[in-house]
Amino acid sequence: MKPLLEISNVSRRFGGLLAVDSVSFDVAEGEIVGVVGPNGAGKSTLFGIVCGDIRPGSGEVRLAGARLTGLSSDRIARNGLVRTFQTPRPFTSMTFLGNVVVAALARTGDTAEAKRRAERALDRVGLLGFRDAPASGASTGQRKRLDIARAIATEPRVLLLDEPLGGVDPGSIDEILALLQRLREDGMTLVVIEHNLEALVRLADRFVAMALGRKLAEGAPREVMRDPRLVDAYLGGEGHEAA
Amino acid sequence: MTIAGASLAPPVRAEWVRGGLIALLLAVLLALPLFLAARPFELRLLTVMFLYAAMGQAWNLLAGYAGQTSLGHGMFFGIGAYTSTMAAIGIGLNPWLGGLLGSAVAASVGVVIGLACFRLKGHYFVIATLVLAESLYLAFADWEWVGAAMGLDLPIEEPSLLAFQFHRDKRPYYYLALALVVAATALVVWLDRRKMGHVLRAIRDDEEATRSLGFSPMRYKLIAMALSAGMIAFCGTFYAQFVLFIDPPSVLSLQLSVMIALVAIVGGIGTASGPIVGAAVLVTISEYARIWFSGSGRNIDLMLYGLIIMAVSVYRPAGIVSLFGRRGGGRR
Repeated sequence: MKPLLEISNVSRRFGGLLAVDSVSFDVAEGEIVGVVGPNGAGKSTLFGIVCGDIRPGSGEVRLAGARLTGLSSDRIARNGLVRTFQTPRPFTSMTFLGNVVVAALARTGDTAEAKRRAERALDRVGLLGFRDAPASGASTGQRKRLDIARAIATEPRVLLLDEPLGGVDPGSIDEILALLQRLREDGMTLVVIEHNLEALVRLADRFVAMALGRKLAEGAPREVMRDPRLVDAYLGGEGHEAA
Repeated sequence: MTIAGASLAPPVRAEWVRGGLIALLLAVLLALPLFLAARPFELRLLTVMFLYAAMGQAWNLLAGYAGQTSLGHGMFFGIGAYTSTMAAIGIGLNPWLGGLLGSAVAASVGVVIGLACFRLKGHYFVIATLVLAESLYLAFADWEWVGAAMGLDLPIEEPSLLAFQFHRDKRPYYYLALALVVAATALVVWLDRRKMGHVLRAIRDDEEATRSLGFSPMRYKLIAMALSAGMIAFCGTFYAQFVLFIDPPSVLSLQLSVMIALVAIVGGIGTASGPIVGAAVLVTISEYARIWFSGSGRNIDLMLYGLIIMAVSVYRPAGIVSLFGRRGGGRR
């Protein structure tokens, strides 16, 4: 079967720094792939390239066979690849529901229908009880979930999640993991950047490990976590100090 | 679904109350000219007030909803006034068609400005619009073909609705201006409730996040700019037909651009009632100050504006209408 998302030989240089260095990997439909690695590994730059915020120096990204590279980020989102932000960015003048209604309007011009879809999305992330509360008052955990509700209301095929567990209190981590699991069961494909590896191991089918812009390893999460090169990268082993 | 049910009840009642108040206000405004036939000052005051309220709505569409503050909207007023007037003088074009032509020209100019300037953020966009409007003022003040600093007299026609001219009885202007503000308000309220309004408010809050959901902020802002410029241009045509004389200071001045922005800011930015309240307050003060302090009125009304703006920004940053709001400010 052809992979849904193909990332081929993507590179990006910022001045003297090769932030992403010929990274390639595929994501199959319905899969959850975790992208892991220490700070500065190039994970967020890679995300930026995939969703169109950053132009790659070389390489290309394809979604269901169609080339995404070179398209604007809003066009890529309309094509079905949507991201969430590391620091959630709610529309602060709106309510929780208002935030998600905007997202649902990406797929329908009918505001009544958008409202129904937004309510469903809020319900899925467990925030329906806050529908009329102002988004400016949301806690970090609520903001993360609101960001996810907004993304899923656009009905994406692939969802890129940038640290969905970052800054979330331990009690809510299981809830978010269960939510992501449900999204996959609904047929969504997820690519997740996350520093909480213990939590991510329970969720992901596969890990892609990065360090210093390069892909180090790829495979079953527990195996990748035991890979000496990744351990080395996290601990700042000698092999990586040169750059 | 109890939550939804509980929260729906009060707004529905509030809608009825609001609808009733609007109907009452409209009825009063429709009947008012019956008593104002012999009071040209009040008639003119209200006509100008409606005109500014309509322009405040148009400005608000771009600034209040899409978050692009312009201090150059006077240029669209001038473009409308000059286009219809030149078309009437040159080829005898009916002013209604001239007004539509002016709106189309202004909308196109707005789109070109937007393409060039929407990449500028915050203050830089404000400065760019201000400079463009001032440049247009200077160009027109020097351009012989459009009358330069001497201005243009409109060709006088037999008074009729079709000719858009009324000489003895000025009440038709009052009704036309009222129709303008009703149309502008209806358009803004309609857009606000549709996809356009939701997306514009999202862009105002966070452009990047809106883009990440699949919307092109540039496209939406250009549509808002075109509508806003087109509406203001039609008001410019109305002004030309009302006063029957235009020159750069009356239709292209910086003071005009500032006033258009102020009626929305003082009344309440990003709300449909804000520009109406703002126009009522500011135009009344401006016109009465001109009488009470005749001769020096121009300066004293500006000082009064200054005071009001300071008072509003200190005590009611969301505008006068926020006095009546539940949560003291912006829309839902």
